[in-house]
Amino acid sequence: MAANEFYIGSARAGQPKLQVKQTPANAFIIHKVQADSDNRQTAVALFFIFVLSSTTCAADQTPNPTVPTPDRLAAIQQAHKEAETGYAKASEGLPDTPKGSERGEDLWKEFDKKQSDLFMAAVELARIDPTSDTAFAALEWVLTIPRAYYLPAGVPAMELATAHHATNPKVGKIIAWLGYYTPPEGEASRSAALTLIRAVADKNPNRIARGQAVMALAWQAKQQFAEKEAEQELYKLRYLRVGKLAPEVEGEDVDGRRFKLSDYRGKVVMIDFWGDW
Amino acid sequence: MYPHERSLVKRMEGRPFVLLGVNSDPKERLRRAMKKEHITWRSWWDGGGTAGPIARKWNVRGWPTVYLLDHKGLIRAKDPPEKELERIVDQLLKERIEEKIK
Repeated sequence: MAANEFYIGSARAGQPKLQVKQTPANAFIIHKVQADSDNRQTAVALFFIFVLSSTTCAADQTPNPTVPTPDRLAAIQQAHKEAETGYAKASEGLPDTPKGSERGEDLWKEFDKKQSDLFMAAVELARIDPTSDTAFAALEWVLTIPRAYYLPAGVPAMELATAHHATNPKVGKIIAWLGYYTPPEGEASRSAALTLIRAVADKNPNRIARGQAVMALAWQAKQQFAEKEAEQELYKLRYLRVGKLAPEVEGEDVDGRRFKLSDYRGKVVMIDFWGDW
Repeated sequence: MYPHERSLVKRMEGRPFVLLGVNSDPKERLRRAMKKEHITWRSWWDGGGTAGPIARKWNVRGWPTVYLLDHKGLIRAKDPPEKELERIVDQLLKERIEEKIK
């Protein structure tokens, strides 16, 4: 835990020395306060503790330790697991009534807020030393829980992964999830997700990771094609059916003279789509 | 279908009816067809292929495709059976006159 221990006060021998220990949950415990004859100096030292702890509280969402250690990530994941179990337990056996479902919704919101903060904590942990194994593990954790794509941690997690792990041969698992649960058109995280997938498709040295990325892109292309088809069918159903006003037709005849359908309003019109074949 | 259309156009001469084509052939081919088949009605030239802007806008996937519009511009029939076509046109013309009288 040496890396998480802070020493406050003068380093000179004989001066008061405070040792503050940081637990993974970010709580500070005053470990040891050496007695000091000078009260004024103690007051100053206590003031420092106060300043330090209040800054830490204010920065709760963005802890700022110097090294991302696996145990910090484990603590975040543990907290998530507990919150999840707690949520499952609390929502179990809620009555099937409006009141019950309202309560279920509240419980979900509460859990979702909690997990949003924990995802963000993992991203902040990754940000400290983004190329490290722990940073990768943190990003992998966040990006293999699709709910995170729709929470504030989603985009920064994808951006960090793009910037520092597009060539990581282990990134395939993230791509598999992201490729299957790609945020749809209109979602804020869609472009960050596609950027990551494209970066992996372009430059990852691992064939399998690249393959997963290409698959994900192909899947997206297929979806878009299907959506376009569906859109056209919908247009046809909405506008190109009996009783609807015909869409305008405007263009040139074979000699380049322009004319349009609405020129013939007032007449009965037969439109014939034809070809000489 | 040309003879059928020709006879329809002929029969409707002088009445408030118009046949308009949307053609998907290359220009030269369209010119030749119009001459050879004595096509008197006007056609939009839709870019020379089946993926032209008008066919796309109208989501046409099969040729020929026929729409009948009344005098208000409303779609009243799509791909009517050939033997129904003239009957529907007559009916639409009748509706138009009836509405004018009202």
